[in-house]
Amino acid sequence: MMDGLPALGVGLGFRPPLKAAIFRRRDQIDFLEITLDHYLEAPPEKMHELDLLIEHFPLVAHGLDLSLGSAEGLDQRYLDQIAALIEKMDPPWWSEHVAFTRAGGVEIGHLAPLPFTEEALDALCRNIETAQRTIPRPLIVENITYPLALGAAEMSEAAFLAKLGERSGCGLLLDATNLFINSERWGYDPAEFLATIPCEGVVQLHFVGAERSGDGWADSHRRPVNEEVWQVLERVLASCPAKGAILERDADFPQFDDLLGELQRAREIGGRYGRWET
Amino acid sequence: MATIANMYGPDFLWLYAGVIVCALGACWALLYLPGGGAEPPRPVSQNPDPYEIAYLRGGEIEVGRLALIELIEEGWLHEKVGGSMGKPSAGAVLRRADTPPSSYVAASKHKLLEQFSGSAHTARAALKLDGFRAAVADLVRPFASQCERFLVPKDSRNMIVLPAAVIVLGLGAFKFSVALAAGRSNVGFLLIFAAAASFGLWRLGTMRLNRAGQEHLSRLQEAFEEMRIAPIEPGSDSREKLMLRYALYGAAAIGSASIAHAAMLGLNPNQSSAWDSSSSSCGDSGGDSGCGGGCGGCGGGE
Repeated sequence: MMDGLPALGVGLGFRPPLKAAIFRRRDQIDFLEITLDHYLEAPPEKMHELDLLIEHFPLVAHGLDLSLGSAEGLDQRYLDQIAALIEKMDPPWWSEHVAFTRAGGVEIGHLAPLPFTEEALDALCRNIETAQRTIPRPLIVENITYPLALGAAEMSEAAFLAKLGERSGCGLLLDATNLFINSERWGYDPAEFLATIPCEGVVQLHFVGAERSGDGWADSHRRPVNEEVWQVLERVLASCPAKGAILERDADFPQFDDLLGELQRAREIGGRYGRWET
Repeated sequence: MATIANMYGPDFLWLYAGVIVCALGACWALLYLPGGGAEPPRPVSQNPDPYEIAYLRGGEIEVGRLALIELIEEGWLHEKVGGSMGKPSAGAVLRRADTPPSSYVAASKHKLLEQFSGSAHTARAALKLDGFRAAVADLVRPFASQCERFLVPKDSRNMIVLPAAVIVLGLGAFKFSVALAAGRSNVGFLLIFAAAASFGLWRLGTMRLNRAGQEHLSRLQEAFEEMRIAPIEPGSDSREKLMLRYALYGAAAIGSASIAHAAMLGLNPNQSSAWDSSSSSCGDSGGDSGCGGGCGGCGGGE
C-alpha cells in the first residue's frame, strides 16, 4: 500500500496565522499538512479556507483524536467525519498517532502513550483495520513522546512499531523531534531505533525544535529546530526513504524567513541522500 | 390597467411586492450570474498586483488612492506643514517633495506627481483632478482587459436595470396617482415599497463585480486574511505589504496599520471607512461625497 507514493519534499504544518505568508512564499513550500480536527464541523468560512488550500497546495492530512490505541474501538462518527474531509482533500496519504486520546468513554484531551505490549498491539491493529476499511487511502502512524512507560513493556518502542508495520501494513510518520526527546529521556541511541524499525516503511517525517524542560526536553512545537534534532533528522534521512518532511511549528512564530530557512535546510539534508530534489 | 387601478389596496401591495421581487431577482441573475461557471477560478497569485486588486475592489478611485499611498510611502508626497483647506474632514494637504528622477519613478507616477507640482491638494481633491484621473487610467490600462471577466459591464447594467426600474416605479407611480385621484391618502405602504425597490435597483445599477469577480476577490481576501490586522514591521517589504493590505481590505485596514497614512488620506481609521462604503455603493464613481453630485461628475472609469 505504501508503494508508489509521490515524493512531496519539505513543507509546513498549516497554521492559520501563517496563511498570508504561506501564500506569498508558496514557491518555497513543497506541501502542507492539514490538521483534520481543525476542520471538523467547521463554519463555511473555515471550509473556504480549506478549499483554497486544496486548490493551491499538495496536501497531506493529519488527525489528532482518532485514538487508534483505544481498546474500546474507534468513534465511528469521528471516523466518518475525517473520512469525508480526507475524501475532499484527496491526499496521497493520511496520518494519525500511535496513542490513545479516549478511554472508557472519557476524552483525555491529549495524546497518551500505549503500553508496548501484544495486547495493545492487538487493539491498535484492530482499530487500524477499521480505519483503513472506512478510509481506503494509505495510513501512516506517528511515534509520540512518552514521559512515562505504561504497564510492563514487553518490547521496545521500536520493536512495537516494527511489529505494527508488519501486522497492519501501515507506514510510519517518524517524528524526528520525538525520536530525539525519547532517546534522551530513555537513554537509547536513535541509531538503534532506526536499525529496529522497517525504514522502508517511513513515509513522512515531522521535525521542530525540542525545548529544554528541567533537565530534559519537551516537544512544545514553539522552538527553532535545535542542532540535536537536525542531527537526528539527518540520521533518519540517511536511512529512511521518506517522501516528505513537515516542519511542525505551532506557536511563538518567528519571521517567516526563519521558517523557510529551516525548510531549506531540511530540503538540503534530504537532497544529500537523494530523498527529494533540492 | 383598469384591473390594477381598481384593485383593492392590500391585494395590489401583494402584487406589487411580487413584481418588485421578480424584477430585482431577474436583474440580479442577469447581472451577477453570467460571470462564473465556465472558466476555472484564477489561482491566487503569489505576488498579487495591489493595483489590480484595488481596481477590482473599487475601480479607478481605489487605484488613485493606492497610488497616493505609494507616493507617500516613497516619500514623493508629504503633508504640507501648516496647510489647511479649511475643511478638517477633507484630510491633510499633500504636496510634492523634490522632483524625483525619472529613473526612480515610472512615467505614470510622474504624471500623478505633476498634479502636485504647482499646488498642494487634499487627497480627495487630487482624485477629482482631470490630470490625476488620466494618470490613474494609465495605471489601470495594463490589467483592465484581463479584469473584464470579473466586472459587470456598464452597458449591461443600464440595459437591464433601467427597464426594470421603469416597470417597478411606473407601476407604483400609476397606482399612486390613481389613489390620489380617488382622494385616498393611505399610500404609506406603497411609498415604502417603492422606496425599497428604488434602493434595490440602485444597488443593482451600481453592482461592480459579477460572481466570478466576487469569488476571485473573496479568495484573495481569504488567502491574505492575516494581512488585514497583522502589524507591519518596518522592513524591505513593508511598503508592499501596506499597499496590498489597502488593496485587499480598504481604508479600515490601512487605518489600523498606519494612522499617519489614514490621516494624510483623510480617512478615519476608527470607522469602517466612509470611502469604502461610498466606493462600494457608488461602484467606480466618486466616493467622496456620498453618491450625489460626486457620482454624476465621475462616472465611467472601468
